Amino acid sequence: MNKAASRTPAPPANLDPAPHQFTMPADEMWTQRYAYAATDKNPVYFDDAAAKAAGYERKIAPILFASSMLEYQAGPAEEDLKEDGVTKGLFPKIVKDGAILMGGGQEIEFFEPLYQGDTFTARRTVINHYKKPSPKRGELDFIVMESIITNQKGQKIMRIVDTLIAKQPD
Amino acid sequence: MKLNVGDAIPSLAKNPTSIGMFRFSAVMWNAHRTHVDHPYATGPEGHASTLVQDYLLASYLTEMLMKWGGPKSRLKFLGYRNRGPVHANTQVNCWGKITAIEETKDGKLVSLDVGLDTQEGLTSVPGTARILLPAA
Repeated sequence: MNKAASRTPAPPANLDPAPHQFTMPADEMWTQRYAYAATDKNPVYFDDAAAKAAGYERKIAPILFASSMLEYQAGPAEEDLKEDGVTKGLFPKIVKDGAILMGGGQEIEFFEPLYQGDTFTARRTVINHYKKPSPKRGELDFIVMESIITNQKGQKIMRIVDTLIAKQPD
Repeated sequence: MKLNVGDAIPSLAKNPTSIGMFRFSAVMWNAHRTHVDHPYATGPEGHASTLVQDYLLASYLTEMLMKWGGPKSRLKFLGYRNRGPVHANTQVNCWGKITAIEETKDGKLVSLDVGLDTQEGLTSVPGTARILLPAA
């Protein structure tokens, strides 16, 4: 459990009224591209026999594949990105135009493996928002999101608590 | 495998290159220029170089843990926070230290402190992990 999430009240209901839910395939090409990009050549990502010898049904997706996806959809279009490349309009009730967004960290619980060829659904909800001063950067906004990833059988693959940090413009 | 609390597991050195970082941003569909656009990262954003994606740093930690645990190990938890930037084309060193060992019906559930040290001597992504090592 995220400590910050547990010590502060629930966020206002209007913070993120609709959870974001996306479904995408964990196909062989994308999952193996991820492994190559991460320079992780674990045979369980590339070889069914090695995966079976390790106790899996077949090749699995790299363990952080689903939790690393920034977008689970085809878009946004380029005109919907800010100058820094980040999607416009994220958390509009919290993040002002011109804010710098940074990843703050993750907590990930792993349940069932995600197999190559599976389809997975990510359901992301904002679960907390708080402000905290930083000695170097002044006051920062912390946005805490929970994502539950399930496969096409409804099995829980992972639970992710992501913290996004926003430095608002002066 | 004989394990004791306080043991260090084998470390893993990685060198995130600008080519690898481009490919990682592409596969994540991450257009943030701070990771791939050197003039932008060093200009408007004021960094010394492009910044390595924290998800890539986390994947280095899982690679280290799964190599150590072996093919039948199962990672159960990874938590980390971003404490400082890691710049492109610099070597990083992943490490782990055992903090607890719990005997379960499925094997040993090992808890560790983990992190990734930069060339500048900063621990960039300190965190914790739990990994199940099946009974032999």
